[in-house]
Amino acid sequence: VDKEVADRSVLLKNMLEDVGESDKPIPLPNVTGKVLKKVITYCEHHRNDPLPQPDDDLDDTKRRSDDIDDWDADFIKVDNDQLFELILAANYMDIKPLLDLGCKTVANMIKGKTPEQIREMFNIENDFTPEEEEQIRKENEYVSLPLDDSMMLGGIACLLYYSLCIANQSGCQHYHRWASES
Amino acid sequence: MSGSARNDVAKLAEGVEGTGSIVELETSGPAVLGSAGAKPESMAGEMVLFALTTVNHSAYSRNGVPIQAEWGQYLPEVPLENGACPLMGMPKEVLVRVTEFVEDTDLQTLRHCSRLFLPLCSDPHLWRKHIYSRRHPPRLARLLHSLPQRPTRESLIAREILFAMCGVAAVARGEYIGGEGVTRQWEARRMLWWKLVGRKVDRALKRRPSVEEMRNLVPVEAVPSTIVFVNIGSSRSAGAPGSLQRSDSDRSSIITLDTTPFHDEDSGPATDDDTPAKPSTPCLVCHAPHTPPSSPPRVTSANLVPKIVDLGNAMRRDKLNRALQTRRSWAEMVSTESEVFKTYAVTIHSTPHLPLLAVQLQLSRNLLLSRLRRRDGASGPSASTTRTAPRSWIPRAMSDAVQRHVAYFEAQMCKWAPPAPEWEGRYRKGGRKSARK
Repeated sequence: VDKEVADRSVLLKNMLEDVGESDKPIPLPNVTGKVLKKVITYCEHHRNDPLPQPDDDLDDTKRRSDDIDDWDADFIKVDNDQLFELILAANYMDIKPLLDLGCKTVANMIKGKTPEQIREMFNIENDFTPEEEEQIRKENEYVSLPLDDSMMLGGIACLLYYSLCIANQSGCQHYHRWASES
Repeated sequence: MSGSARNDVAKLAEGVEGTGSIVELETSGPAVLGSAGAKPESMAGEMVLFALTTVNHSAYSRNGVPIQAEWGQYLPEVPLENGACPLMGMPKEVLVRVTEFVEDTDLQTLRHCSRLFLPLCSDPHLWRKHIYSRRHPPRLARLLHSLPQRPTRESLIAREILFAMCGVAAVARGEYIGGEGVTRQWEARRMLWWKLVGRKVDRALKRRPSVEEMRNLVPVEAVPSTIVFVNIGSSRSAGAPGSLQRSDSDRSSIITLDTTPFHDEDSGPATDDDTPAKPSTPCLVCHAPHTPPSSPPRVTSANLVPKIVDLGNAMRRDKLNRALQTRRSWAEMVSTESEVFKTYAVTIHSTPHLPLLAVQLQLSRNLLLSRLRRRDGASGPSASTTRTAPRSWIPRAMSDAVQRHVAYFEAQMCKWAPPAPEWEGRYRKGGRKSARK
């Protein structure tokens, strides 16, 4: 592997700078050989890309999950286990573009799914108690209405509220009679 | 690779329990990828990378020293096991990194998957820094960050204020913010809007007057090579160059126009090559002879300006009248125009809701009646109070004769509440007679 390719990893770059022109081996205990091959393939393809700057983390406009180019999309088409191993390897070797690519892929996999579908896809165990699930279910009981109907109902509700306020402030006898009876 | 380095590699490969692969990193030379079991013969690099194929990191040891103790800072917090959820075994910083790319509606969904994701997806820092900044423009995002008292979506939903399209069914249909359907609808609306704006601009460009039409309306001062003289008095001699004499028949014409240009004194008298045979007239400044231009600029007399303005107003009125006479109803336009106009008409111009208007009218009537009733009630000012109140300022504002008239009419209009005795006396002093007259 060329040094230029290895420099895509901040971990290796720092190690090489620390060790200098030494012939000591650099162990990578957290990366399997299969994943390391994929990582090297990625680094070789992106060897000419500009290195990510530390200020890039401050740029919030780049946090989009749909700006993956075609080669990266084909590269990341792997099964879930290999995808998470790639993410772990990118995190361990500090290859920020590869880590972002994996995170974007996971975010795209989550997009538009229900909690049950997400649990099934990632084999997540539902560790909520029934009480917690009931609480979450109550939080999820939103009313989804078409926009025009909700706007109309909101307008009618506001109109009725203001009419009651006006009737109360103006001393309307009918309102007071209705309020006392009710 | 030197011999000592090769020995180090061999020792490392032998010391580590488990199978692995070796990636040799060379600063100048080809890459070598081999396994620890079969060491390559031509190891000529300077750096060697080890990649272990086993995932149980806690089991690794080299010469009795656990590897985790040596490189512990790089190991994941939760070791991965076969059959376990790979996402749950990720380090927290990676999970946070993943949540930064997830849309807000999907974050709401993800936080209900597991106890691990509940605090991760509810992190206010995540919402402030990434979700708001991604969704809103920077200034609005900063404003949202600076308002910590702003209620959250959960609190609004708990108080039954927010009825968002965030339900599970709506999410499945793609009706969440940033969803496919909503995005398509928004893009269609933007495209329609730009198309209508383009049509409007095209029409305005076609309607605009040409340069030739505008030439008559250009102020005289803006026309080059012209000078305006205001001949208020009669001090100028008749027939002098650069002046028009006052016409006896038209007394209002006091503005004199001249098309004689000034000369640049250094460059000498101006000449026109196209009209060499025309008689020359002296310049106004240097009195040197010069040749008038072949086509004199068109100028407008100041006397014509009010007429032009009146004409323009009359033309606008006439155009408006014609447009009002030939206008079509909404039904006609919707039935005859294209689909774009139909959508625009349906979107922008919705018909008024007649029951709502009736309710509003009824409420206004009830409010007015209640106010009228309160005039005689105990809570508000009575009619007598209202009538006697002006006594303090009427004498200062009105003459005595006018006051009598006012008192008379008030007595006639308000029979149920006769005026005060002092007003009655003042009224009898002669106000009735004057009113009868």
